[in-house]
Amino acid sequence: MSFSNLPLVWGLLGALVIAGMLYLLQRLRVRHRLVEVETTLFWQQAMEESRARVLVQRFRHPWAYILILAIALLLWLSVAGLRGGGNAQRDHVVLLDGSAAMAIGERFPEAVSLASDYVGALPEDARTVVLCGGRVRTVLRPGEESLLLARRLQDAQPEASPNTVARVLQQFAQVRGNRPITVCVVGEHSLSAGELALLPESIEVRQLKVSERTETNAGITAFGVRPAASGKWHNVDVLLEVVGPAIPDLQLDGVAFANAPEVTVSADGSHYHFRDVPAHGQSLLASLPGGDALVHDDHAQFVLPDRRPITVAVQAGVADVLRQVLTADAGVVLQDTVDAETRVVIRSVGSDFGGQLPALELSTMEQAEDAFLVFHPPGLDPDQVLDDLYRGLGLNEIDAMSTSAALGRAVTMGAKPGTSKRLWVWQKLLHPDYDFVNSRSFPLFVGLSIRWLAGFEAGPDQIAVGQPLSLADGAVKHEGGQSRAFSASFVPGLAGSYSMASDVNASGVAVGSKGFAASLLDPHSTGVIDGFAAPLPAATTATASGYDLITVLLFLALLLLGVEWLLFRTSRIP
Amino acid sequence: MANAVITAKELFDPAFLDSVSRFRILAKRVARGGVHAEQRSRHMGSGMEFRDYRGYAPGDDLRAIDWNIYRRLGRLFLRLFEEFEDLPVYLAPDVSRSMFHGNQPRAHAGLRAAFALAAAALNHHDSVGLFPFADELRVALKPRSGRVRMMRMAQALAAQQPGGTTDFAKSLGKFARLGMRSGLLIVVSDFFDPGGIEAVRESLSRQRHRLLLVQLTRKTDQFPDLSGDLLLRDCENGQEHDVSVTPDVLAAYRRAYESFEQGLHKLAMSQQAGLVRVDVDEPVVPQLSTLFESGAFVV
Repeated sequence: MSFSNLPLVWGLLGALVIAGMLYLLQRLRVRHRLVEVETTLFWQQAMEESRARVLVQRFRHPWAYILILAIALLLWLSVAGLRGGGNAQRDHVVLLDGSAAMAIGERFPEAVSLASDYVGALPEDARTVVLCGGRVRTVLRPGEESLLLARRLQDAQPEASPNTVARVLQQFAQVRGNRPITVCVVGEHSLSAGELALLPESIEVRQLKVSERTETNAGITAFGVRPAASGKWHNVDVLLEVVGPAIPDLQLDGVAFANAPEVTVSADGSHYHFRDVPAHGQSLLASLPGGDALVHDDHAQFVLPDRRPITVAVQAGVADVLRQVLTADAGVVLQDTVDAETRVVIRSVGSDFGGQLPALELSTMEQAEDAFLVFHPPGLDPDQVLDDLYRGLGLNEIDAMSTSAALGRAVTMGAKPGTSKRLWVWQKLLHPDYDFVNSRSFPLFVGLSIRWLAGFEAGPDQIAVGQPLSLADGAVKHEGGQSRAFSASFVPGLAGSYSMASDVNASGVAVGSKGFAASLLDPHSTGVIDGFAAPLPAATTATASGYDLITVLLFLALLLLGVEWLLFRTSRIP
Repeated sequence: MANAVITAKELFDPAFLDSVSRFRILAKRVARGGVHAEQRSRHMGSGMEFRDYRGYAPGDDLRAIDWNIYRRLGRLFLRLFEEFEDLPVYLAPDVSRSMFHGNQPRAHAGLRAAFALAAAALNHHDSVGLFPFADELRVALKPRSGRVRMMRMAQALAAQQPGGTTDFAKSLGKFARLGMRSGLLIVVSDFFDPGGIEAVRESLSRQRHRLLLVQLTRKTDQFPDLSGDLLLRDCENGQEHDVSVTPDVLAAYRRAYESFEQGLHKLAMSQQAGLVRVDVDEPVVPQLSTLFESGAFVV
């Protein structure tokens, strides 16, 4: 038992003060109405007299005192916010599942109704309601009126995201420490028995279940790309996994394919392999006919990488070995002059060929301390740039020891900020006398260098909602309008298109200039995977709530006032 | 007169006197020593109505010897005759403050009742004296007979002023010590003596007279219309008492009053006294009529 408005000590002290004051008042002499009578002979025998002109009289009317004391204490306890129940000291967190799976049938309205009923019975200052959709939102904070919950959830709908209850619960466990919490999951969860066991003992997890899924559903559970098996640089192969009896349809930038790509379907009809889809940074949309239980998994979107050839202008007189390698690269178009299509130039250090365009520059050993020197945009950590590009440029494949021995100088790599992206390479390294140009890593180095300078990187094969995405620091903006800054790793919470709110820097993994698109791709939401969630004890209002006695106390006080009035009217009490 | 509750004119009202004219107080025997009147006396003397014979004794009046009996029997017998004298009636109206309390004081009915009984006595040639009392007893009118005293009696009664507290023991004790001729003592009072019914019993038991108690009551004596927390002040002695009037207190009050009533009734029984209760809020004469239902009130 506790008080919500006052500390326990103050509440009890107040009750004692009230009892004491009423006691003193009871003992104070009543100011009587003066009546002159012919004789007091019989009154003296009948009445309970008190001595005249004394401050106090003997304690009279104990039942009247008890009655008024009960009324006063009930009112006081209601003011103090008396609350009973064993969970009075616990915090209550209600995690309302707003994931895609709740969009099936009337599960979400059912969950809202269950949550509202449950919250209504919880102590107002110790309960929090969190809507766990793609965006995690606190919809009711401690101390707020329960009525606000219905208003805030009025327009809420399940979002195209996997179940986030487990993630939110783990965050609560980290933030709240050892404070006792009763967490009630309303809807579904994805907590395994192992994850439950890792939660602190102070966290008690219960569940209010909603109706089971009964309707049939078809959905896309995987959607991604990979370099075309045909070897064509500007094409990609698209892989699509469908659950259920539905045939997918593909659109590029909202338009059906002019020439349908070659497609291979697995024997069970669940896997589709679209070959040689031209990749120019278009938006690829896969759709199912729909009309099933869940709409969120009937669409999947992916922004294809821009695999158009990179135009590279090569300064005259630059080592032919580079020209030979790039000529063999299907992703590169060589030219001798710089024009509007030129994205990268190859020149000697100090030449103004290509101006400020990204450049692969050949230097002398005297001009550069390092054999490979990277000029990166300002603001980046040079060490991080080195760490990323060491593998990103294929330098880890170089036999640096033998080359160093041949050159008589250590082959090193350096990085420094520059006004434009440039990569300096010792020209001497490109001489046929050295192993570098003869090694298998040389074409890889040249190709990756040109692509890095051109700003191209192979993005992730698949972008699913809820799965972390490795991006450079920056901010993204969802098509729904929400912007979010992130650092290094970004977890798309909602399906749909994301635009990059900041330039992708040189060392980050750029997904594409058009941004990227995330899709639900959640087998659990689609209904393929089921049953891995650990069972949770059911939450009931009676056990989970510290029952609020204020209304009961006020009602009892009113009832006792009625009794007192009745007794007074019948002269049973003075 | 500022505190007069009734005037002599109101008392000496012909209609009122006519209504009480049929009242008669009849004594079985009155003590000797009075004046000639209508009541049989214990004394047998020279009246006109033969009563008995007795043997002659030396010194007897020779005129009373029945010579016819002497002629037949040869012995002397005297003829005895009834003596008729007056009954001394002593009116003792209570004039304590309680009798004059309120808008309808008990004294109004009490003085009318006293005058009615006085008139009944005076109409039959009995002597009537007036002895108002409170904490003291005064001799307002000495016992005298004759209808002519009726007006004076009315004036004396109307002239009564509120006295002090009721003190039966002191005032009626004084009356007992006056050594008046044995007669009828009529006490008109509420009998609210601070000493309780015991004090009343103590004082009345000392009287050598026959008693007629006229108790002046009103309904609120038994059923007071009081409620709440009250400071009750006694109008006679000014004492104050805090009373929270609850049903329990009211019940206890009624028990106390009923005990008082029973005590007064027992007192009347033990003293062979008459007791009549007069509701002061009702006409007096009809209530007194109950005393005279058999034609006369016999004492």
